[in-house]
Amino acid sequence: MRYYDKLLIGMFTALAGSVLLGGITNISFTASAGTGTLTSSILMAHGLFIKHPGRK
Amino acid sequence: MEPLLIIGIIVAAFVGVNIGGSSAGVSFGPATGADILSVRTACILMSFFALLGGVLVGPRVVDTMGKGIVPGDSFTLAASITVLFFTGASILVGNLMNISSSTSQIAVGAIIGMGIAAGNLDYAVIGRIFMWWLLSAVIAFWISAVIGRYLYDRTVEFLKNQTSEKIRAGLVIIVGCYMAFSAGSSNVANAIAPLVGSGSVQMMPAVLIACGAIAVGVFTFGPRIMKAIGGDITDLPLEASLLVMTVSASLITLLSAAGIPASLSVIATLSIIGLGWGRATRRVPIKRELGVKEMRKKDERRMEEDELDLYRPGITAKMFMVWTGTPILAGLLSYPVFLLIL
Repeated sequence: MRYYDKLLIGMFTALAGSVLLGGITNISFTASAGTGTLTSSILMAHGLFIKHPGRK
Repeated sequence: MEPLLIIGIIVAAFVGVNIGGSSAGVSFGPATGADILSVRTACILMSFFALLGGVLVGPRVVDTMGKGIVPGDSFTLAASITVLFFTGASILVGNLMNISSSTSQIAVGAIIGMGIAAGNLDYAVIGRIFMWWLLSAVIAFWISAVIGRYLYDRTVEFLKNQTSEKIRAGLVIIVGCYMAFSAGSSNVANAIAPLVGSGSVQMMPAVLIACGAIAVGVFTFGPRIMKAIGGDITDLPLEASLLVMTVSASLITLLSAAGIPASLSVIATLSIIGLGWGRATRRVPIKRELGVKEMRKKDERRMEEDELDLYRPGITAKMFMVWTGTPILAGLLSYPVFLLIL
């Protein structure tokens, strides 16, 4: 499995996990989904700007 | 009718006309560009489906923008016109400077400036909107990146070889109508939410005014923008633009149904970036591969793709800055104005 596969799986896990957490605990949906979104967007930014596919 | 209300309706109509022109470009640029539809038919379909989206889903977004972020009674007629003025002016500046900014983000930014000036901003609603903006952007990127990395070749091959010309043309038209529906559902609020919030105009007449203005924009500016601005999306292969449009329209419709003022330009652009990024990640690093082993057919094809300009981090960074900057700028500019008029 390459870096980009791991990145996409990581983004999905963060989002799905946070939504699930919001559903089964008392944490508000906005707070849990917000945390997952933030984690996913950090991963996304890493793939877009730091280890992006345009590097030679 | 009060003169101030007439001014309000005129400014709202101005916003609607501009929205109509730009939405028509994004929705039916691919269909008219590929000569599947005449410009006139595209304009009729665009106006009809924007009206449908505006009437069926639009009122939910109008409620959030007109009553959710700040209490509806803070929208005096003067305040409503100021918010609409900011929205209209930013569309004008964006079009003149050729910057793809989001109307929804600017309208929300201006309302935030107003809420802070009046001291009645609902931070929970703002937090929810910001969270959905970021979440929808991440989802748009993720879906398109997955398609670009794992499914693009197979999907394009299927669309090219397994479907007839007629089915492909039908798909382009259906996706264009879906996009028009989503544009109507999310954009109607940008034109009339402050007026509905102030109680000056009732919901349905206001939605119909907005949809009428959007239709005027579609027929006047639409044909030109379909060729020019719509080109951003039609630069993609037809199959890719179908994927981008389907992802974007679905996300916008879902967000609008949840009452979130979403941005079509941000979601569509992130979807384009995601698709290009996903395709670019399949490239074989040439320097590492050359000389190590003989190239397989598959790798040769990937090497050819390396020549394509699939992903440009510099442009992506600039877009992110514009998206983050515009609502903040709208809020910062509207705050002192509202301090004076409230």
